[in-house]
Amino acid sequence: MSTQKKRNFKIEAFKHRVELDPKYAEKTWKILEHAIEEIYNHNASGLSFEELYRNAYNMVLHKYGEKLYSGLVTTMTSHLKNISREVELAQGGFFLEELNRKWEDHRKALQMIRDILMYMDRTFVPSAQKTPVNDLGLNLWRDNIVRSPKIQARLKNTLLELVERERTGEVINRGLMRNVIQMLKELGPNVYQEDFEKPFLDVSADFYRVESQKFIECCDCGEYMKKAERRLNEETERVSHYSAEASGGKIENVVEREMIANHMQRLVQMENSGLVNMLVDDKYDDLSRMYNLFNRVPGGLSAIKDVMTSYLRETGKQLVTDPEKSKDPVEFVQRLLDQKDKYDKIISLAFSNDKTFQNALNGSFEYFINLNPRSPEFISLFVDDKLRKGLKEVSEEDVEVVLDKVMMLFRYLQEKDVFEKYYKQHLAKRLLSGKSASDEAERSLIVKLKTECGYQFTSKLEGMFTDMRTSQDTMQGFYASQSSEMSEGQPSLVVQVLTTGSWPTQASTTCNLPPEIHGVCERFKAYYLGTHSGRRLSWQTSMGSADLKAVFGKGQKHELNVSTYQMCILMLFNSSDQMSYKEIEQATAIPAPDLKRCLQSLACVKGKNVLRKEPMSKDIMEDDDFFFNDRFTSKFFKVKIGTVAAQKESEPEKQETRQRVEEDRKPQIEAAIVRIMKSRRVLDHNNIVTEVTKQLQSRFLPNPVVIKKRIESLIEREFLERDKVDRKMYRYLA
Amino acid sequence: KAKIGDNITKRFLDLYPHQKEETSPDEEVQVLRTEQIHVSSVILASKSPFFHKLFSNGMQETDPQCRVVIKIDDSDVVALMELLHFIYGGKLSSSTEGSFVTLVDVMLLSDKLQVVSCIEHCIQSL
Repeated sequence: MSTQKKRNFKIEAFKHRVELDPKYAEKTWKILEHAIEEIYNHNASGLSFEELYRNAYNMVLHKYGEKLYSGLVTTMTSHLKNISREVELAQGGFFLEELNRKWEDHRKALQMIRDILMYMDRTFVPSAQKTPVNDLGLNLWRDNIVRSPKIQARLKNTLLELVERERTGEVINRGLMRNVIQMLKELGPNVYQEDFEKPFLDVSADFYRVESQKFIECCDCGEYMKKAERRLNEETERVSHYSAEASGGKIENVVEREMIANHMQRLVQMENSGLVNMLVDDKYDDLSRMYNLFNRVPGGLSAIKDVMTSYLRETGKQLVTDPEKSKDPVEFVQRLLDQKDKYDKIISLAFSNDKTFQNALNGSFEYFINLNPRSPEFISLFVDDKLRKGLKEVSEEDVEVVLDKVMMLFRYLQEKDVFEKYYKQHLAKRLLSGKSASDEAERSLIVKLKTECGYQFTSKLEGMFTDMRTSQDTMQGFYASQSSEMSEGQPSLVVQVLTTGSWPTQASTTCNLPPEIHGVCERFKAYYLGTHSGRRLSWQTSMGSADLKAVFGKGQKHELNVSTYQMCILMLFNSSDQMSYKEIEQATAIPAPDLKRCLQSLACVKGKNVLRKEPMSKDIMEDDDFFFNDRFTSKFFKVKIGTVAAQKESEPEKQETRQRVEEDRKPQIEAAIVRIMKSRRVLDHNNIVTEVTKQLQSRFLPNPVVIKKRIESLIEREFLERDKVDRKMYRYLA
Repeated sequence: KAKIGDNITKRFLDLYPHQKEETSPDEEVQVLRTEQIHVSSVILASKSPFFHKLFSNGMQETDPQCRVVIKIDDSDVVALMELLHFIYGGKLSSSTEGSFVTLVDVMLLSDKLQVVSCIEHCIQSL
């Protein structure tokens, strides 16, 4: 810039009039040339900077810039040629050291030369489009030393040999290595890449190709991973020691490719030590190592994920379809939860909570849980087990944790409506038998279900709770109004008024209640209908329970906790000590299967046999006789007989529930079809099926065949019609 | 404040004004007289790459004990003093500012010693 400015003024002419000494330039150059010699000979401290600078300045000022520049090139070149010869002569291990020492010298000299030629660098070099002195010095070094035919290959081989020696465990002079690489870097990215990086990467690839082959033959998967990890760290550390960080990523890529990517499948599937074994044995460290290493190569994680998924599906499938294992529903669900916990832990500890792995886990669970059509029932039974009173002492937090986990499984269910059906049944049993452990826990689960599936899903369940509360109030009202007529010794009655529809439908089977009870019931009925006109009450005797006070032969008193049916049977023995099956059946009018079950639990269970049966046998026959067992003893004052515990459904019951579920789905599918057609007006069959499936999948997965049937039914009822031209299209009829 | 620093950086400059014969090598130039001035190497180095290298690049002037010789054209003595003035104070004396010839001299000297800020200042003033 200043040069240009100066020229604008053209003041030189009048100031520096020059009578040129023809030998001036030659003489001045000699001084500078001598100085350069001296600099290379380490005699710089005897030179005068001021003088040299002034001379160089004057040469440029008097248009001898070209001479100065070319003189520099010639002098430096010849000097470097000498150096080159000296380096070539260096023997074996001293080669690199000699090269490095000469390089240090050259750099120092170059620095000084540049300083005294600073003025030329600033004015002459840019205007004459020459290479600046520093770059010139580096280029000359490159061309005369590093790339001289006798040095180039030797340098490369020496460097690579040192790397190789270090890889095989020898200690090398890293400082020297670092300096030489630093030199190559200073000579420009091109030199660094061609003379070091590229051959370095090629040799490394060969080295690791051989080594990984060797390792994979003799190591198990975990060991191999450790070795690969160590090699990777070594290489990263090596390049940083060599000050070759620029190649860090590339050498890592080489190791990753040779040691991991090329052996990925083999590693994952390695027998007895591969991924599956690590998963089985919860080897968090190994898994974490594998995750981190595979994460570095393309497709690495999906290789892990695929194997994990297929293994999960396989074991999950075995778990849910093994008839042995689905015998106990609670254990069945517990196994699922354990499995889920195990993999959750693996993903969080070893797979850094990778979202794609979580999705794979969820997908697998969704896949195999639904392989067993009884999963919804079992999950509900599991909840029942956890929420039922008196089984085990668990803190509220623990229950919450378990419920949260169950909700996780619930989310995987495709047939959520089936779960709802069972849940309703089990909840009803818990509520009516007063076996629910904690209102809070019950409600908490309902809230969870509500957030998951919406208001509709739980409205009936909530209705059940409302009924329970209202019934309490009703009973208080009843006893308040009856206080005058109630006398001591009369049985006390607790009635739960259930709203039809909210509760699981039960075939309304009645039985003949004992007269004592019957009277109270009638009074309640009168009271209730008096306060709520226009309602109908029917007694669900199959769902009740009773506490009886009984005195046995030697005066031992017990309180018997029995079902309503059992109460009816036992009351008969107040008037006689012996009754035949037929007589009991006639007197109570209890349906035969229920009656048999009741009698069995009264007469055939050891420790609870308040009745005696003749002949003694396990099963109840129609010609059996029953006696009051006055020799009955029990350690407990309260004796609980034949609990109405929720149990796995028997085959016919299952069929029935299934049928009911299918029945319930029909209106839902129809409603979905109508909703869709109302907004679309015209739609073809396939699209309707897709949309209906989408709408309903939060509750269940509708069968396309069923959807088709529903469409046909809607056409019959003239909600829809087929298009006259295109028979595949349906039209909505408003 | 920085007494130690002052001691370290305090240097002597010997000015050797001579006849206008810069085209001749040193030994043929006749030195007219010697002037000695005290300067702070740090301040000079901060404004001028020439002085920076002069005091640091490893040749004889780098030695703190060495008296630094500056050989200049006799007619440049005024300009050099002005330039030093500028380096220390950031401005030129009013007499220089008023003299076209002196300004040009100062500017050329600034170019030689690479005091960029002074070159710019002179261009502004011209």
